[in-house]
Amino acid sequence: MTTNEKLKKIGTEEDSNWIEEAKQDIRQSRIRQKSWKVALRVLTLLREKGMSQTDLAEQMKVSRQQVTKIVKGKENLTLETIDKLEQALGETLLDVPSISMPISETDQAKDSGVESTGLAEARHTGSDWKWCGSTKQLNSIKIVYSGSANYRDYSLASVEYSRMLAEAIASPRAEIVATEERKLEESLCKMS
Amino acid sequence: MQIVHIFGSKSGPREGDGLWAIKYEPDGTHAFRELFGRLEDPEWIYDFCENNLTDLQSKFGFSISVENAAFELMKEGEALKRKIIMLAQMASTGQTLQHIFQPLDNGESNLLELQLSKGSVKSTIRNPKLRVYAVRMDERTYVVTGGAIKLTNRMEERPHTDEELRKMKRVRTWLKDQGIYYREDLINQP
Repeated sequence: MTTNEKLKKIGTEEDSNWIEEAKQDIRQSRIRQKSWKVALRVLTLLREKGMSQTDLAEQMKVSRQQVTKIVKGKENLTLETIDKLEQALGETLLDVPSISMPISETDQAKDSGVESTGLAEARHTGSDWKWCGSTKQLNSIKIVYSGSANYRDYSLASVEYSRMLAEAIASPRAEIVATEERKLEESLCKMS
Repeated sequence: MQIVHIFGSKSGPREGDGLWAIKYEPDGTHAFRELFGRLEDPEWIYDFCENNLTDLQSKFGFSISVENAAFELMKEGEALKRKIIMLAQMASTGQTLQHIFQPLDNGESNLLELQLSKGSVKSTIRNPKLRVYAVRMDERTYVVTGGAIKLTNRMEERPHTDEELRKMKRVRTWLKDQGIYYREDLINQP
């Protein structure tokens, strides 16, 4: 039997699209991974709450098919759909970091119930930490990672002070907008 | 059973090399698409992780959640896809599919025709859990029979990997029955 005869017998085909489709998938990797994360979170929450996908569709007031697309990671989610998901599941799925700004004295005082009168800052200059700004006592600490919108706020009442500082000091891009000057200076000295 | 050419030379001395896949049902999809279809389906992966959590935790080496295990497996699937694209693009520079495939039997050092083989992203992931299963025609030509998330030492230990082993053997027998032993036998000449 010739090769052609063998091939006719087994019926060969070609799927030349696979590679092109795969390349497209990789180009959209970040979006795909976000969709997967949302899908997996939704599946976990459904299990935890004992809800079916039909229950979710009903609560969201969307079709069952749309929920299927979400849990298959095939839905290009809009903010409206995310909001409906969050309402139905009672959990936050999308959390956008707040814009990095100095905490106002009024807000701090309001939050803590402690009177605060100024802002102290310690900035990393590349080799050490340098104080600038006010030195009056504050009641919270904020680490700002320069070049990104990410920051973390800590309340002195709950913060693991040393661990948090060690983390900030380890990052060359970090800048600390600080709290009580004396306490922070002491901690920085211990770390250096 | 049918056979589908995924990528490789269309002409010249290496015509017919590259990756092929088995299509088990005439109206179905081929094994390679089917594998990635599963690996990119969060719901399927989640169910798998729920049903195999003990094996997964043992394989990961720590108490990982279903959700996190599922995401890690999906990322590994994507890494596997990247590797295959890279090999397809570099085929002309001499990169062979042996960069991803090796004999199924770890004790087997010879590379043979119609050898049962396994592929993974061992070079980029330290402890890979995904496997692509194939029958080897030559260093540049493999016929994919399926794939699985392999969490135990032996394929026979779990039904889903045991099934993949049986599929590989069935395909090898089928290829022999069709008189297909070498790459040349796969070439589709006009």
